[in-house]
Formats: sequence, C-alpha cells, structure tokens
Amino acid sequence: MFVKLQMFGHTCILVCSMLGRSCVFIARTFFHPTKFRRIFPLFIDEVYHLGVLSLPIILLSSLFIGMVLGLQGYNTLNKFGSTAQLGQLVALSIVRELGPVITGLLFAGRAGSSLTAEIGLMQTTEQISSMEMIGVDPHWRVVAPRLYAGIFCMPLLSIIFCALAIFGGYLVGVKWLNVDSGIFWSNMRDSVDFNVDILGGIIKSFTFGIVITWIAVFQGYNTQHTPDGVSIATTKTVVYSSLMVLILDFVLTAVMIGDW
Amino acid sequence: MDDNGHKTCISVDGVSYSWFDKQICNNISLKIPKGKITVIMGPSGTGKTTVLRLIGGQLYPAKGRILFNDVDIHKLSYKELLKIREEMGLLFQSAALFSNISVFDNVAFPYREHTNMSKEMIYHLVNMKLEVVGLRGARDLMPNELSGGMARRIAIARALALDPSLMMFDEPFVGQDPITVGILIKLMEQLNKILGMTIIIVSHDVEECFKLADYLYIMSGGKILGEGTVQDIQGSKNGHVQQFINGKPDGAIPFHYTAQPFSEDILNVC
Repeated sequence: MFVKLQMFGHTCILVCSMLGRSCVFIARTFFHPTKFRRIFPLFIDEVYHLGVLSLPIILLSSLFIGMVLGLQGYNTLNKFGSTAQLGQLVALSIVRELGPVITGLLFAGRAGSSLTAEIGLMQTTEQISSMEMIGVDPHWRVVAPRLYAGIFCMPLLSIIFCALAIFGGYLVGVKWLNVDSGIFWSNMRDSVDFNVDILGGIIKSFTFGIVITWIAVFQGYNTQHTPDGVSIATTKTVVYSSLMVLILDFVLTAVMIGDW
Repeated sequence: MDDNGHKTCISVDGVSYSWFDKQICNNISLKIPKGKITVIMGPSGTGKTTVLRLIGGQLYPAKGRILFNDVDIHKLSYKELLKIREEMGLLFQSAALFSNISVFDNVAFPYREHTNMSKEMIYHLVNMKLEVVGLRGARDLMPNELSGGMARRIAIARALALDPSLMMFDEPFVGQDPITVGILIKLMEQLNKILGMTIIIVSHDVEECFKLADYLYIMSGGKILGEGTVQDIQGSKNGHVQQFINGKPDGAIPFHYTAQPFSEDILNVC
C-alpha cells in the first residue's frame, strides 16, 4: 500500500514537473525578443511544411466527411420528411464541431508528428547542441518559427476543411439526392450565425493549433538521446495532442454555449 | 598565468559533475594556456567529452568553477553565454551538421546569424574555409551525401567560420583515413602557430596526440591521473598513465565495468 502511494506521488511529481517545464519552454519562446524580419523567411518555410503539405490530407478527408454527412443526414431527415434542413445540418455540424476537431486530429497526426520527429532528430544528432555552441538560441531559430507557423496554419486549414466539407454535403444532397439547391443554401444561411458558429469554430481551431504545436515542439525538444527516443516522442505527440483536442473541444463548447 | 608564465585561456577549478547517481567528473582542475595545444586523453567513457561540454557551458558543474578569459562561464546569463560562445568553436564527435541545408549553407550559417556581411562576401569566406579543409568542391552537396570523414571536415570549416580564439576538438581522428589524419594534424598546427589559436583536443589516439600536444592531461574514472609535456607523460611513473599510453591490457585501469564477481552471477542463476 505504502509503495503504491509512493509511486502515485512520484508520478504526480513527474507530471507536475513536465507541465512546469513545458510552460517555461513556451514562455521562453513567446517572450523571446524575436527579430521578426529575420524570422519571417523561416516562418514562411514552416508554413509550407506544416500547412501546404497538410493540404492534401485535409482536402480529401473534408470532402469525404462532408459527403458522408450529407448522405447520413439525408437518410435520417428523409424519415421525417424534412430533407430541406440538410444544408443546416451539414453546415452546423461541420462549422461548430467536425471542422475544428477533425482538422485538429489530422494536423496532430500529419504536422505534429513531423515536427516532433524533425526536432527530435536534431536533438539526437546534436544539431541543437551545435547551434547553441555557434551562439544561436535554438528557441529563436528552431522552435519559434515552427510554433508560430503551426498556430497560423491550423485555423486556415480548419476554414478550408469546413468549406470543402460543406461542398461535399452539397454534392451528395443537391447533385445526387436532388434536394433543392436554393433551399439547401438559404436554410444554411439562415441558421449559421457568423459570431456564434463560424467565429466559435475559428477560436477552437486557433486554440487547438496552439496546443498541438506546443506539445509537438516540446516533445521534440525533450527527446531522449536514444535510437527509440524519437519514436517515443512522436507517439506521445500524437496521443497527447489528440486527447487534448477532444478534451478542449468539450471545454470550449461548454464555455461557448454558456447558458446551462 | 600558469606556472610557466603563459596566460591562461581556460581555468577549470575543482569541478565535479554527476549524471543522476553516476559521478562523471570528480574534483577536476585544469589550466589551458593561451595559444597552446592542450590534449586531454584517456580511455573511453572517462568524462573527456563532459569536460568539453562543461567548458562550453552546455553542462553545469555540481561543484567548482570554469573561467574562460577570466570570466566564470556558469555565472553568465543565457544571452551572455551565447555571445561568449562566438569566441569558441567545438567540433562534435558526430559532426552535427544541419541535415536540412547544404554544405555551403552549413558553413555560411555562423556568418548569416552573427554578421551583416553581403552575400558576395559570405560566398568568398565560405569558399576559403572549405578550401582549407579540402572540400570546396563539395559545397553543393547535402550532409547525407557526405562520408563520415568529410562531414567532420565540413564541421571543422563551420566551427572555424568566426575565427574563434578557442577551438575544441572532440575525437577529431576517429573514423578518418591516414591522409585526412595527417591533413588535420597539419591544419591544427597551422591554426595554432599562424593564428595563435588555443586548441583543446579530446582523444584517445596516443600517437597523433603526442605529435601535436604542448601539454597533456590523462584522465580516467573522472579524475586527472597525470599531466605534463609529452616527455613528462612518457617518463611518468604512474601505473595508470603507463598502462594507457602503452596500451597494456592489464593494469590499474580496469577493462571491465564495475560488477559483482562472474562466479556469483553464474551461481545466482543456477
């Protein structure tokens, strides 16, 4: 019993210490006197690696998710004779929840893991140490551009995801199942509120962007210097990021609804 | 000033360093004279590389202090530490080239980060540094296209980019062919004699180090076992030192890592 209690205490201390170190880590990057003019080309490079290279998976997933939603939504609404509400159903599901959450999960798997692996490999091959010995702060040169690019790309990817998923729903609902095009779009326009739904989705995706990139760069930077260190860090990034996206989604939704 | 009247570049005073429960350095004291080649030798795993990392401020000692040009390295702020590192060059055992940029960009990296030189000037300086290590023709290659020896030479060119006053080499001769070893020895001698660069070499290659060293330290088990000029070391009566420089398998330095007797291991399993 005493040993178990000791182990529990030890685990709690380790978790608290890791949280503390990750907060110091992010603060060191955010509050670093960054030379924006010099960081800009690196930032653009990372926007390409994290954002542009994530586009294929985002585009393909969003189209099919929108199409499945259109098909399932039509099938259910048809039982009640209210297929006219299909546009509303597709748009609200995607803009409020599916868009930010699935983009977050895909971003964690595609960009988060690659970020961790890249920085982790730089650690294990002593590239970070050599950068420090040249007198360059890796927080400025390696971490900051990736962190800012991740935070910048995630809301944009989420917006693209939402637009294409709605288009997928439109293809299935209107082009295939013959829902009236005017009704589809006008119901959507009436029910989707910019401040509540669209802005809410963007706030969620922005928050997910911060958390995913934070976890990814922190895990990469603290990779163990062993051959399996990078694989452990990459796995941790995907697992922690995915869990955080789902937990934060619930918290943010609860805060946004607000009137319980 | 050391005992021979030379100005001291690095002074390591009673430094101890532990990694978790393992004591890597135990109350080590060294004096690295300015403008000389100092070699730290010893068997693998005795804390030689740790000493270099302590001097570079990448590790913090549990006890003692390290002065670089009379400045306590470990009392500097991080920003000051980065600044003072522009005066140091460290060649890592693994070369540690940046894998996502070309050889040219690797050598140009310190210039782009620390100076406002024009592109043309950087181009000429990088070519000069690459010419020194004999790899000007490899400037457009990526690090994954280089052999281990070539990568090490590129890393030397990068470390020399800002013409540091102190250059530290961590096992520079490992994995190099005899011609490259000869060229490296000549390069180190030239850097030392022509530019007056202070050089620290960490190595266990006795023959090469004896050719180069002005002063030697022999380390084992985290302690300094012997020090002096090549003649002093060769004439040392210390059993540890003699065992190491003559490569004797039996002696005071154990070949086996500390363990319980082998018979006990066998009996416990049975």
